[in-house]
Amino acid sequence: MNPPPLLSWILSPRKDRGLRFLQDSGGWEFFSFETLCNRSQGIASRIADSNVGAGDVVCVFLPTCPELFSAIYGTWIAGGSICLIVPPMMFENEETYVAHTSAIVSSAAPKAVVTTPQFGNLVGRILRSAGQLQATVINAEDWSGVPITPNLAAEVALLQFTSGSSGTPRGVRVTVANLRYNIEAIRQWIRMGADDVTATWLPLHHDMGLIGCLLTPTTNQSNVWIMRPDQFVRDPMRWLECFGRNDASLCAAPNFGYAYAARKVDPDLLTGMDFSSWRVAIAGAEPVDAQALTMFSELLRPFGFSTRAFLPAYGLAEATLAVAGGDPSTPPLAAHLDWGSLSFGEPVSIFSTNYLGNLACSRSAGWLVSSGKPHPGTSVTIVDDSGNGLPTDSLGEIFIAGPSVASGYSGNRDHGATKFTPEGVLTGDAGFIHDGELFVVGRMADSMKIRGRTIYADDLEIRLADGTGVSRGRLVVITVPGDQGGSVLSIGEQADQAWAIQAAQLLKGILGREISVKVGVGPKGTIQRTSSGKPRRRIMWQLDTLGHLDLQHVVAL
Amino acid sequence: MMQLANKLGRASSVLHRTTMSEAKSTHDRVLEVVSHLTQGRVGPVNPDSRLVEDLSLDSVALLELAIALETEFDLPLMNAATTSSIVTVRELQEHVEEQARRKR
Repeated sequence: MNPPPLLSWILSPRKDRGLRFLQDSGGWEFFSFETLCNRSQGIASRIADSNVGAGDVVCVFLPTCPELFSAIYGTWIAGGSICLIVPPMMFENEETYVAHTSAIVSSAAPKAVVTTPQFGNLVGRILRSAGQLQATVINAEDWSGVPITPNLAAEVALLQFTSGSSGTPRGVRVTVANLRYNIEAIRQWIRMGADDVTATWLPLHHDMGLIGCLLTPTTNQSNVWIMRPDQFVRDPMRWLECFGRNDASLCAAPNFGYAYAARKVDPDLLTGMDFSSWRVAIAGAEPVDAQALTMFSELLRPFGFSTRAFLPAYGLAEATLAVAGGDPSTPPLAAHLDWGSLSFGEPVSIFSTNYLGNLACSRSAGWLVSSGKPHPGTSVTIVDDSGNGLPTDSLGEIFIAGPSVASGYSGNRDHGATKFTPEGVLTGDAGFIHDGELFVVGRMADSMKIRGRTIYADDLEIRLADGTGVSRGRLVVITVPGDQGGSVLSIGEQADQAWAIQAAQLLKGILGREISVKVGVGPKGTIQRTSSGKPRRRIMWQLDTLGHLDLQHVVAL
Repeated sequence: MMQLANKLGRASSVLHRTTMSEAKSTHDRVLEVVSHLTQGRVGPVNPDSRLVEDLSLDSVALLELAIALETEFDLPLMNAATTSSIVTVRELQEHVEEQARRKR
């Protein structure tokens, strides 16, 4: 694999291809790659004027808009590293937002910030709170600078922040080489042609939106229809129209995106649309939800959509983005598992396998959809607690190695479930390999994903202790992978039935209807801990599976 | 816009002209929209319920809430700046009432 340089498209940007942004007035505005190149080089000169040198960080504080694109490539042209900051969302409390964002900005220590005047006051508040007032604030709309020659001198292209437990942000150091390899892996995987067209509403502040739906098509110089996430939520039909009325053929979205569109779109409005050129619909960011995909394909199948377009995918920011994915020439594989017997380090019991389109029972519980095969150059192995490889069909932790593995966390903040080792990255995800395909079972006891958002057991314990008055030293919360979004188990030591009821209601309130909750009470010593007092959640998950935890007053909601 | 309103299909009661005597009903209707969104999964919704902390509404659900209210009360589009100080259902009720009053 010899991936093209990240800025190769800038040498001959196309006039006839580019990005279309959805305007709030309802129309689409086209920006050719040539225009975007000129703007990027113009803003690059402003960035270089602010003494941004090789490897210096530039924070970009913008929503999805053309200026975000020129700020990203402008920073790279000037030799800097980007750190994208998401502007506040609807109903987001300003105090909380400023505190969270300041933590990111403080950790990124930017030399400059690119934003628009409308965010000036907020950016000022964040820089003050982060102790980073020395950073130069650059107007993203000022691309009048004399274009400068690309100088991609930075080793790290992108600081990709992910939220760790208790909201502590961690910046993944994604290198220029990581991006080159991963973008090329995606292009080869989905067999991306020059005439393929992407349509996306994903936030560009996350890896799937930024790398999968913006940087990859840009490297490919192919067209993209771009909406903001709130425009999609407001009217998912605008996104479907890109495929059904226009020329889009590629997309990526988490499960809930497909489920949301299926729930909100009036089938009558699909009349006259043709989805037969929709070639690739990547389903990522969570364990693939067969039910969500089935709902979506049932809605669109009468209008030419093929279930074969669905490509389940597995990836994480610590491995740049894409790790494994389904084969575009075959429907996704699904396995019917004996969930009750899942045991870490042990063989998984598979009743049967089938292809997603053939599953009469795809809506029934118990089927797990494969995340496909590892991309070329990326090695995926399943390891036990000591990091030793496990045989095929055994449940263990997913370990990734290869040129897409990022160069660690900024400031070496390595305190989460995902850990870098000298050889690769331990993902904190449990899974197994069957027939060469990766099946991701879920997070391992310490966290879980609900609608794309990671919920940490640590945080649930803090909220449970606050809400029930039983100290953290006497309770534990364990997340358990399962067939329908998973479940949560909580144990209180020396607590009573009233506590169990209260704790179960509290957890249910936080987690919502799709996650089942089980709370029980045990004598002192029920909760196993390490010598430093951390709960050994995976062992307790194991003991509970085997029926070896003797709990009283069990409440299940 | 009407098409969007139909598609959203949430609590599609007739739009009332807000008068002092109907101020209470604005509050009730906001409560109804919120309750419809949580679908009883977090217990009863009351004016003191906090949207994020108590009702566990995530960013997508909060957007849905804003869209449902804009449609129900024919309000100008809400955004991050106008909603950043709203924490509880009561504050939301007051915000909607204020916006509806301005519209008149």
